[in-house]
Amino acid sequence: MVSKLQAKPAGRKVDRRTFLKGAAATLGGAAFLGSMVASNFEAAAQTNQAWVIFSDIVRGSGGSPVGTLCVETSVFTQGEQIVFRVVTYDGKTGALVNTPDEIEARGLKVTAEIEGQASPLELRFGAHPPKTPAADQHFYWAKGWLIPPNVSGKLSYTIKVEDKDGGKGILEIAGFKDGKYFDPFPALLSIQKA
Amino acid sequence: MTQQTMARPVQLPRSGVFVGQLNLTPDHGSVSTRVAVAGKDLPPNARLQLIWESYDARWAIEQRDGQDWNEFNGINFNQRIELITAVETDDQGSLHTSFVVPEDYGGVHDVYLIDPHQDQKVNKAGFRLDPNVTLTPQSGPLGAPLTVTMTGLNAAHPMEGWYRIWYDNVQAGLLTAVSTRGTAQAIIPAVGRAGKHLIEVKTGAMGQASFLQVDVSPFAYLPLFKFEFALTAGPPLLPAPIEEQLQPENPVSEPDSALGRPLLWTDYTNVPARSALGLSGRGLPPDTTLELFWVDMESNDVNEDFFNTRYSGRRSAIGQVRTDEHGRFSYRFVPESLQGGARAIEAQLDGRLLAKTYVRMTPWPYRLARKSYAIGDPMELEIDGVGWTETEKILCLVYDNSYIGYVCGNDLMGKVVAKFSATGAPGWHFLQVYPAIYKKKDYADAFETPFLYRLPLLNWQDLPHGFHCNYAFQVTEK
Repeated sequence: MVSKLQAKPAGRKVDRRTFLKGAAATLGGAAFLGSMVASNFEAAAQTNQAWVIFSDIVRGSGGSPVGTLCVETSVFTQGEQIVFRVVTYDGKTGALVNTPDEIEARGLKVTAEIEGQASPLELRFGAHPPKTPAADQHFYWAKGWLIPPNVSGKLSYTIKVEDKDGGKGILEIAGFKDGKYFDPFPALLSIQKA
Repeated sequence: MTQQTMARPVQLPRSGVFVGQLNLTPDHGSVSTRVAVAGKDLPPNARLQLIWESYDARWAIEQRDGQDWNEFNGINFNQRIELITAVETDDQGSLHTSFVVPEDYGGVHDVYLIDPHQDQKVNKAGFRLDPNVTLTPQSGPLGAPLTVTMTGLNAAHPMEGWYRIWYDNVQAGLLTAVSTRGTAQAIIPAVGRAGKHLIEVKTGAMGQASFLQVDVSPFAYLPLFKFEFALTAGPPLLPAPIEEQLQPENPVSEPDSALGRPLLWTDYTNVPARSALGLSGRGLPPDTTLELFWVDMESNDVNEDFFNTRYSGRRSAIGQVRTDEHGRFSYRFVPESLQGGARAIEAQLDGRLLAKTYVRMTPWPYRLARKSYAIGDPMELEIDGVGWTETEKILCLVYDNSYIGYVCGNDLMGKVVAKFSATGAPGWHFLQVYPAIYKKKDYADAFETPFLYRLPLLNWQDLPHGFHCNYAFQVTEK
């Protein structure tokens, strides 16, 4: 099942709002449009990145969840599972690249690097939620991370996309870059003691 | 207190896989909380540093010609890193120390353990700096100044940095702490009848009204504060006469270097509207008659193009001056303009600009027309010297701690005349004037949280060039 959101024709100019709407729709409509979805939209335009990334995070069912599952939250607790969710757009054409065939053809790989953690998480592309009629599913990249008992504070991470031709996209959720605070979104995200 | 500021700000190391564990006890608290730091399974016998990660914030106001200009662009942030203390692990890789939470912005701060020699992050732990509020005094007569002090406001967060004061369930205004490192202080008068009154400080990021179910929202961790105040009988405490509430003028000395270029300067950086002002010049053509001009800013605020206000300078002749044989002059005058904010003064010769300077005109509030009003009587509050920019052009009126509305300085080029009615029980009543932000450059953003617009900023010192004054008057039955 392909997402309800259709890819934009190649070469058509797509503005930020179109991207946001598309990303929100593709992420299952759970995203709070424009503020809870993080993107490298501007950075990709300025630095000619090959991929535009839209990403949010939700509480997963793994570990010991302390709240509603599969919804966005700003404060996670040690022992909970964070699920990273991503959709990708072609940075040159503005087209959503979000079907299994497109993903395979472009050879996409998506990872999440969390500050201080040794190994990047490899996100998997698939239909969500599981055990749901295909007509109600959405495709996106996802991967859960069980918060270790020794991690607390702000949640800083980087989403990286790379295709088989070496084209890249980078979304940094770090709060500060080169001493400048660049997005209020990270201020929402923190991990507290269990 | 073991905290010290490093001589020079440092950047955090950019990388490092975390090692061992770092624990803070408690992991949240208000300013001045003592926090125990315990680490284990860390590199043994290592000389490390404990770092408090924070930020500096300032209102982002358009800059032009060295002046705070028109547009309001939100808030700018810069990362700030402070050394808490140097630490050394034992031969088992453990460490123990403590620190006192500094007065700083609220929200989550990362406390990093870094190895400065390897330029590596070793580990980190989060500390949430909680907001806290105090109210003093807890009792007093009518008009007693109640000082509400709030620490731990987080200006970088859409919800954690914005609280409002409510007095007996009416809204007095907004508390912000952008330029004041997380601390806001507001002084409001005790109003109403003798007896108990309730002062609440509640999160106020969501538009004009208060969000009344924070406790079941994702922001349930935000505390709400409630105080009882006992209003006692006795003579009221009234504010100083309005003439004594003018903002102080800052005198200026002659600039000591200008490389011989033509130069103008005023004898004060700021003066209230309608005040005399000294203007001096040097480096100008000797024995020459110059034209002096005052530049006001005209807007098209009140038209169909409301969302795209444009401004243009309007020059008015101040007069002519004659320079001496050294190219100097001194001139004293009272500006006819009533427009506040940064005002340009130009010296021209045959229509050619030779030199320019700025003086900041500050508000001049008038006395109320009468000392007492019957219930329902119309009242007027008049102020000259109101600015023209998004952060200076409106002033909010708070009547008995209830926000009743605002006036704008652009309708009458710096003069405002607020019209409202006398209400309340017979006796003394209080009126306060506060600054506010009119709108943001990106108007769509203004509908998002935090909503900061057209609300009285009770911690008025937080806003550059903020203006505040107090009135008292009596209401009678007839």
